Amino acid sequence: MMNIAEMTQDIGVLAPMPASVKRLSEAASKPDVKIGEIVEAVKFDQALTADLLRAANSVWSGAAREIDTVQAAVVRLGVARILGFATGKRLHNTMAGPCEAYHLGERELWRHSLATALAAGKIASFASTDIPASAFTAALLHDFGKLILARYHSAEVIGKISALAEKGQLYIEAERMVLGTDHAAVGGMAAKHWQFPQNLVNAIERHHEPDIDPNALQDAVHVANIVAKTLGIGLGSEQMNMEASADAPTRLGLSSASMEALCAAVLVELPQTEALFEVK
Amino acid sequence: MRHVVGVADFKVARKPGDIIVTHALGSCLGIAAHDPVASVGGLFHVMLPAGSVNPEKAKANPYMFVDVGLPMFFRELYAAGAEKGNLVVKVAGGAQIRDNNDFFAIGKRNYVVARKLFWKNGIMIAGEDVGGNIARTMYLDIGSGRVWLASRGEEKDL
Repeated sequence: MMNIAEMTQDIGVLAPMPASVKRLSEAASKPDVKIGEIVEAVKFDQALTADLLRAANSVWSGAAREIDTVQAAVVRLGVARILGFATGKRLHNTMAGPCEAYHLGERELWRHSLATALAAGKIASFASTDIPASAFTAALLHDFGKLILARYHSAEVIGKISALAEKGQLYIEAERMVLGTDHAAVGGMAAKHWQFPQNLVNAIERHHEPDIDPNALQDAVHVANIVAKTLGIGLGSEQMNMEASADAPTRLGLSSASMEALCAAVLVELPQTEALFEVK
Repeated sequence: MRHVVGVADFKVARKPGDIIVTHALGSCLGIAAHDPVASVGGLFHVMLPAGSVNPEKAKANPYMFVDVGLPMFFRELYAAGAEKGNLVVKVAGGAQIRDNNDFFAIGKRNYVVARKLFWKNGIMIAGEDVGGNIARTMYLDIGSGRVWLASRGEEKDL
């Protein structure tokens, strides 16, 4: 069994997160975030400021004129994209590599995470409930636990999960049977380690079980993961072996037609979002 | 030569050495059609059942939708020399997550729309491997007309 203290230390080594991201995540989880709070969280982090200015001037933001202040970049990009970008930029190298134990090749986990993030960010325009701006980031990190678990277990051990899943076991339950934990729980642990707000931690931890103490953020990440899987992006050894919550779409006010429109929108916009994280 | 077909796209080929492949069919459908007489074949990777959910997108990218894209794919095959009566059609994909309410059953809906279109046009499906919760990679060999699938490291002919 894994040692939690050891694993937490490992998360810090694998993906250290600057203080600015923690502050941003707190601001983004509030319903009434002020631009000033975002600017304050960003402005002392020079690397992040430079990245954000580049992003604000990139194709992604559709900028017509040069953006040269943090304030203008925040207005241009919006809170959801700023936090998503700040987090994603830090984790891009770690997440874009292969995660072979889970049968995810080069860039596959990254593309799956990004497609999920994009879907979570877009659900708000189809849903009838308000969804916190941190949905993009929670979705981006939902499978991060797979990267950590793959560092602790051999491909052979992870392979036992697939063997159980092929016999009809739900993948996440098979993970619990073999490892004593699952990728969602470990991902939640990483988010906790980065001191992200509790609702963001919960959304990662419960992305397969959004009916536990439900809220819009959890539901959005759950449905967004289904969108990425439906599109066949980065399925790995988990494949499409997950259970949909019967209530999450109702709580969000989604129709099956809006689900299809969401899939179409993600497919069309994914290349652009991918390119943004490659901007040097 | 090996041609790779992306999502919401198709390829038609007529050289005997050509192989067309499409990867990661989740809920998407892969539709292979091959005329052994004319040695023409094509592979179509389509994502959603009906263009009516988004008329704007259906216009910009008709190959995203079964109802709009499938007839266009067949027209391309005929233009390349295929004859309707000779076409051998095989279908794969349409997987989905476990969902008791079928709310997310896009794979199933894709398949239903495709079947209905084939039936209306008097085209038989010669082989299929659809549903379940696994991703599939689909191949078509133009020379032999062989269609095969790869999934979870195993291959099988269709």
